[in-house]
Amino acid sequence: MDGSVPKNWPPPRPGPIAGEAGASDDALLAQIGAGDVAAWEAIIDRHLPAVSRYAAYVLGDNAQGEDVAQETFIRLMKKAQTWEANGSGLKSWLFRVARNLCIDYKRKKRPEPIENAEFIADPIDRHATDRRIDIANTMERALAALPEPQQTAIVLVHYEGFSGSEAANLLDISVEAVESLLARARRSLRQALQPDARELLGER
Amino acid sequence: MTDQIKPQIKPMTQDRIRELIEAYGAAPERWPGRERDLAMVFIATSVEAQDLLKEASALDTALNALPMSEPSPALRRSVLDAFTPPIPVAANENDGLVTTITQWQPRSNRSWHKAAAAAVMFGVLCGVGISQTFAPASTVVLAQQPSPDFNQLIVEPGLESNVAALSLGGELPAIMRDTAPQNENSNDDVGDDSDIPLT
Repeated sequence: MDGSVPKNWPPPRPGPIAGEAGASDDALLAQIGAGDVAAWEAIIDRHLPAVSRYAAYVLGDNAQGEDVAQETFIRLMKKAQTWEANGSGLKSWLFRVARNLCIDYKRKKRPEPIENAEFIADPIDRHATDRRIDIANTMERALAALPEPQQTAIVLVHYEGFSGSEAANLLDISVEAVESLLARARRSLRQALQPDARELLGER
Repeated sequence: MTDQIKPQIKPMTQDRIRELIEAYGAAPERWPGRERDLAMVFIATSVEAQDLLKEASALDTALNALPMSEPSPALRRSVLDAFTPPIPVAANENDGLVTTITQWQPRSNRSWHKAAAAAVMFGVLCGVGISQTFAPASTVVLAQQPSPDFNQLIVEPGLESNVAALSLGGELPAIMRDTAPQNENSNDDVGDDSDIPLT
């Protein structure tokens, strides 16, 4: 380590979620309650990708993630007519519902992973020619092996642009607890990637 | 989304910088906004903090390698199809129990029974009216008066409509009631029906 600041630092801000601009979520939900299918489509385009991605990351399975995303939006459809703006926002509501569904899925489908479980790399990945794909596969498996609270924290903050306090609000914990979850998650990911750390993380 | 939890600003120290970077990674935009500027100033003057930042940046890069997948067209279509337009509820002046009962009924069957009841009432009224209006007066009288002396009764032509009208009310005109005793000599049991208790 030479102590110099990385050239790509600070990195570009994560892109906004699709459909960020335009009518507010509350306004769209009011229109949905009045039978406006275009508003429903706008809500889907705005939030479905993030919810689907979150569920897929947490469950480690795209198909199950899509099942969770679909169920989340079916529940939103039922909720739309009685939706009341309460300050926490639709985005938080969607992730809360999706998170609960993911927890149910995990409970039914497979045992809770052991914290800091050693990541076993798939030997097939070692032969991947595309380094980025190799890293992505490794990271996906490492992420899926994390305990659910750590998964949720890292996905919300790193991928979906939640602030620490927003994630704390969604998880019903303190900001300090969120930071602790994030730090443990990142430590676990680093350990999981350790066998390939030199290649994947650029460590010397 | 608003920050509902306002954490106290912690003094910017090497430990706090470590906490921030270990939790949020190397991207300052993920750090708490209230600490961001102080943290960046601190990092600029701390070699140790810059080392931490570099390590975190490598992990961020690995995390960013995960594809930001879009939902499949099939998922989007199925979620779009989940749209169910609300069923408009007509304004109801009744409140409380009446409203509750009305809303409890299956929505698809809300109006048919009213139409059916109206149709039945209309049919009964029309049927009775037509039968009473167009039936020969003698037929009406014969039903009530099988007496051979019927022909001697004087039935004024204008009285037919009154017969029909009063029959609906269950009351015979005086001219009919006067002929009732003539049933005593008849073998017809019709006149005794009123004495048979209904079961």
